[in-house]
Amino acid sequence: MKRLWSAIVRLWTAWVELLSHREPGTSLACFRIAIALVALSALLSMIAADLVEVMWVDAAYGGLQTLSTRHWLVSLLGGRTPAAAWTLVGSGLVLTSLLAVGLGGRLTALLTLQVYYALTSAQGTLTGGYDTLITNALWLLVLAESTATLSLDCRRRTGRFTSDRLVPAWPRYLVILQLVVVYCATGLHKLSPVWTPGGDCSALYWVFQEPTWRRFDMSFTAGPWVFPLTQLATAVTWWWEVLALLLLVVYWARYTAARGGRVRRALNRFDLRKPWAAIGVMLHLGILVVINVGPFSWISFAYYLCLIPPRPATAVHDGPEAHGATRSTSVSTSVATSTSSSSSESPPGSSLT
Amino acid sequence: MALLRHPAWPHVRAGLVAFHVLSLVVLSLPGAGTVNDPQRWKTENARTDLRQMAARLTAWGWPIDERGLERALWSAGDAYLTVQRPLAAPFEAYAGLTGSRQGWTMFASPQRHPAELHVDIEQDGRWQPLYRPHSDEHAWNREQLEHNRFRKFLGRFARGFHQRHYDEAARWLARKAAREHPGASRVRVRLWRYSTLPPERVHAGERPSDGRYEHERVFAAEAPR
Repeated sequence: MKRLWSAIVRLWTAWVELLSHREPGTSLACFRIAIALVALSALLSMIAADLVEVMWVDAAYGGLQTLSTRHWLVSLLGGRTPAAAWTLVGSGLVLTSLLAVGLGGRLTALLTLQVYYALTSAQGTLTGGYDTLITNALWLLVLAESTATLSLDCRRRTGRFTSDRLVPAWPRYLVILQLVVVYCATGLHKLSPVWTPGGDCSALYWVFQEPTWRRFDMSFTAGPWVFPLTQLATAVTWWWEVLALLLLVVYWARYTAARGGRVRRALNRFDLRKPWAAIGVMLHLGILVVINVGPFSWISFAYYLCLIPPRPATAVHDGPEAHGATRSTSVSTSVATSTSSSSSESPPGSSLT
Repeated sequence: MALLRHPAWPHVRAGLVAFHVLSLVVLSLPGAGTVNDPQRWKTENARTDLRQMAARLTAWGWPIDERGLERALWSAGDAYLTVQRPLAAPFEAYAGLTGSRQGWTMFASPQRHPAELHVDIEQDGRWQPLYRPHSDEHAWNREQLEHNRFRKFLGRFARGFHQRHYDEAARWLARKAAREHPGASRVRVRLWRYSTLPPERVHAGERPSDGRYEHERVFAAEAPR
């Protein structure tokens, strides 16, 4: 019992320590800009296709479907009327623009989230997987200090558009976790015999023929040379998604590299994050070219930006000096803070880079 | 901001982040809509999956037929949901408020029996095609109908037909078609269902030949305007 308790305490301490890392805000700032642009383009595409009053207005006011009015903003605006839809869309355009230029910090992210969620929670049948990824990202931006650099907030604060100010790294870790969970969950949903081992791995062939998704005639994928390639791509996709959780093991091995050990050394011999990300990028590029699923690939690429860490030499732990520190001083304070007060087993200054 | 400087803050933050992580993971697990939706289990796609899975299990030495496998999976799904529902409940309010829900089952079971939306109008006693997917000739209202949200919406009718959603969509389409074609006397909306052919048959030059119309709705052009 005593041993179990001390293991729990050790785990908790490591968890607290992991969440105390700070790093330059470049990755999270790039993530913010990309998410804002994707959300903005999703709204603009609805305007361009003249679908605002079709999909975000209730059938009682001339819309396509009977819609939910559960979201508090929709109730406040008097239901799913054309005026409410345009108010939300107009606010969304302004807020996503503010988010892209980085004005208003967390408040802008929170308002953007509420407006976008109010629009897309109208009816489950009218939303896409990308809407969920956008709202998830917006919530993570509420939690993150994403306007520390590359923003108008930064310009107002420092007189420059960029800054070496350190921000909590854990929101970036949550973005990476989100990505892993997305792939793992979707892989585990793929139980159809055309996906799973033991079958003919024909899933992608069938996807390519579906009139709902395909951009153009894909019957050429039935060819004797092309079909085996789709089978290979199906197998790679399934295994890559199902085993996505292993990316966390790779990160763990890097984080605890100083502890040594054969498995850790083997895992760290090559940077396994790169082939993992390369497969993901190829998958989404493939989707982008042949299948019409809206901005799904773009929003995924936005998440990938958080796989690119800020310069590792500048990552530090929480400490009074870390707030607002410049890059040149932050490294030295990190070592001082870590060696004097850290109880973690991780090496000073290490982070999930 | 005094709270953020309190010595206990790192622990409070760690607890809150742990809650978020748990919420993310638990809500990413398949829910009732995925596991035990009777509409989905009735589709041709699901029946094909069950048939193939049963055949595979039989080949692996566990003899079972399609119906037997369906019963076993349905009851396993019920048992799973008795655990999943109470597990997910504490996180629902958080996810509902923050939009941090995770549910992406993309192409979990690729459609092998698609259904295309076809819209026709009747003019001078003759039916004329107005819209066919991927057709440059019959491309009425293509900007809207081929937007990714509309395509996805229409694609759902092949995966699990929902009467009210379909009827509302058909009425909306008929109203728009009637308004834009004043000479039309009637508007017809229906689904063209067919089986996608396997690669060897496509390669041999065959084209789907088992197509049939389903869920036909005909509106007098005056009525829906």
